[in-house]
Amino acid sequence: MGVLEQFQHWLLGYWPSWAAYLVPAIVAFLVLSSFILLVVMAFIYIERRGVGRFQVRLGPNRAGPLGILQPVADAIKVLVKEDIIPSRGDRRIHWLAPIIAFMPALAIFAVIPFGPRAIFTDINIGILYIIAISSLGVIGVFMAGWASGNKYSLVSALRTVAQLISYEIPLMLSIAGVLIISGSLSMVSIVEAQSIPFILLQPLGFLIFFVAATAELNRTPFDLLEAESEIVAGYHTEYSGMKFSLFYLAEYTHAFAISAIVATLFLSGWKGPFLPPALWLMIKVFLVFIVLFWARSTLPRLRVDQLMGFAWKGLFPLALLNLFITAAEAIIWPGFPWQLLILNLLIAALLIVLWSGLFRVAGERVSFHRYGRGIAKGMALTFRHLFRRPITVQYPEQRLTPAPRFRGNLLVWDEERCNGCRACARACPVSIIDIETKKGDKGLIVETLEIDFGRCLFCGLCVEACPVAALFMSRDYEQASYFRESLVVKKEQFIAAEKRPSAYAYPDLEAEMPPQTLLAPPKEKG
Amino acid sequence: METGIAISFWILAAVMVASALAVVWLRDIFRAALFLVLCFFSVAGVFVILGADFLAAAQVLIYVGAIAVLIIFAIMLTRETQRGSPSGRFRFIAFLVGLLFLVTVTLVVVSTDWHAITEIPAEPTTSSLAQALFSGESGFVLPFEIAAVLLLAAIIGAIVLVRER
Amino acid sequence: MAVGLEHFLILSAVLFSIGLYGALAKRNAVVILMCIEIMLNAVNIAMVAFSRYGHLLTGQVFAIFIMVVAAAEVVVGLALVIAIYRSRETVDVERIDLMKW
Repeated sequence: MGVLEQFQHWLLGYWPSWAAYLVPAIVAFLVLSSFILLVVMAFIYIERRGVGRFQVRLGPNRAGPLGILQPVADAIKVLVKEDIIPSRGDRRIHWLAPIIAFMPALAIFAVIPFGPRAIFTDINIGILYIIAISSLGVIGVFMAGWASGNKYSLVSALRTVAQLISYEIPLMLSIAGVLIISGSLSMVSIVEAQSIPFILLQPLGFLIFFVAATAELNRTPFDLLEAESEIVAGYHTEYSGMKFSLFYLAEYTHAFAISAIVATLFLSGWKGPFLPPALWLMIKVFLVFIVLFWARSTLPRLRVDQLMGFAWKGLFPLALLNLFITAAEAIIWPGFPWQLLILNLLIAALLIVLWSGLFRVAGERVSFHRYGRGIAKGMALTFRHLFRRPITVQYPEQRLTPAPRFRGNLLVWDEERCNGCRACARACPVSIIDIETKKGDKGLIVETLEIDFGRCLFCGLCVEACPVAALFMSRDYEQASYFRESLVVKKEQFIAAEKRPSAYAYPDLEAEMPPQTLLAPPKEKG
Repeated sequence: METGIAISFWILAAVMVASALAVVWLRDIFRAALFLVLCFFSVAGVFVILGADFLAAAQVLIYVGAIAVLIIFAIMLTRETQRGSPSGRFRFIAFLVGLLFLVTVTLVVVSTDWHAITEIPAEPTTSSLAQALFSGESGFVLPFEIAAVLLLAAIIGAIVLVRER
Repeated sequence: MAVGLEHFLILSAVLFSIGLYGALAKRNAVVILMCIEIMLNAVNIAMVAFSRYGHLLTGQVFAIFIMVVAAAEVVVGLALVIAIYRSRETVDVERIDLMKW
């Protein structure tokens, strides 16, 4: 019995029956939505930071300590944007689409067990309910694509149908394997049947389910329906503000739901030693999600024909074979002893290798070298990136040292040494150095010095022309101004400026300079 | 419990009939298809009221997840949306036929003495349904296999029909 | 007011008549297919209602078969519609009146 029913029974003693039916539903909805909102924020944070680390970047870290408020900042940014409805679109459907897209993802959580008794409602067709409900999301995407009145959105909607319908079939067939072993459709009994996690008994089923679920989520190797570089943003090109945020929320809620389903079906759900059950489930959910965006940050997007070919010629037959083998095992060894996992692992490996030999992508045979080892190497590479120092730095606080002979934007002028010969002004090809001198008791004294850095070429001829080594290139690399005039630097500013001469034209200075870190050439391996 | 079922029945029936009428009425085919989805959904709700939980899920899965999506797909591929869905020449005759059917069936339903058993049957229907489908003598194994062959034939037929030569 | 078998049967009849009217009166082939689906759904409601009030699961089994047939029907039907649309540029059933072109 789920939490919802218990609450209902308890309420029935005090309140009229209609309230006892309505109130738990509303309370459940509120609790669930706020919990999901929290988890989705955590997802957004760890995905953005995590993808950053996989790509050797820092990731967003400005809003709050370690960027922990980044999802909040994102949400505020999205919510205050103007809500645009395309004039050629269908207003009402445009308004309804995000809601339809979001509701099924939310509804899945009604049957996800967070613990032996912590489930909203343990209906006996749990997993079937999940499959049925999640097929509704397609309609939302469809409505969005149609109502936008935009051909890219429509193309995206058509792609979505093709993709989601194709991948739903291997998805369901791989679940069928699990159902044969557990002998029940209820999520709670499926978890209770897992004395060994089903990932070990159903390795092939797990792989198929995971890949197909990634496709159902439209995450990166399969994100054709919002392929930014081809169809702008797909079905939500014409969405902004609140409605866009609902799509965004739906995407992450769905990711959460799918991770929870994977954890429940294959990773033995809430089960685990020491820790409380709900915590175990969340740990597994986050692990699955990390793998999801690990794949996202590694693999490139598939082409449309490859996508469909992969579903129909690759996953579908494999899922059928898997179902057949599982059914045969259920007849031969009804108890599913643990020894089967070795056999099943071998069968999975064998089937994948054999099938990839038969399978063609766009007229080209799938080579193990390219697709098997290639993907594995790519995943390993991005995994290693986690332990490398990020290339990006926390910029204004942390700066990189340019090359020693860097020609930076401000000249360093040594007032003491300058003898006012004006060689620099003569050498300047764009004549931006304005220098006036007057006679002093020891030669010439510079009265005015003005250099217009708005027009400077940074050719360095002035530095080379200086006979007394009074002019140097600088190592500064920032230059920004709201006014053109402030780019004209005067004598006083030169004197006041912090002097960081570059070794350009003066190689002797190189010795005492810090090592280059900005665009540094890779160290040669000795 | 009884009143709860009655309330949900009336709500679902109203939604179902209204959305079915909208499918027939609306000129915008895409909206008609969306109302078809709503109609399928309320049918699933009626199945839940009738205690057919497996069928309700199957209804959503097959009708909403597959058939409605296919229909929308066809709407997009045939680009007939500007013309909408006009009624044909036989509109009035069709209306008469529909009305005649409705009146006849209603009269039959009302005048027949149904030996209905009102107590609620056992809930989880999944396993008993499987028993009914696959059990030895009284089972539907052969029809089930024939249905599978029918589906296969339909799939192959559809592929052959729409394949571009 | 208790809901009995008659209610479900009449609901099914209403739904069936709406579908029947649509299937006969509409000119767009896709809409006709949609109306046929409504009719099949109406039959399903009757089947399941009989199964519920007769304590016999055969009605539900029949409903499953009806779903299978509906799926097969819509697949072939839509394939035909699309094939016709490709060659004739229309899905208006009153203009698809030649046996062969």
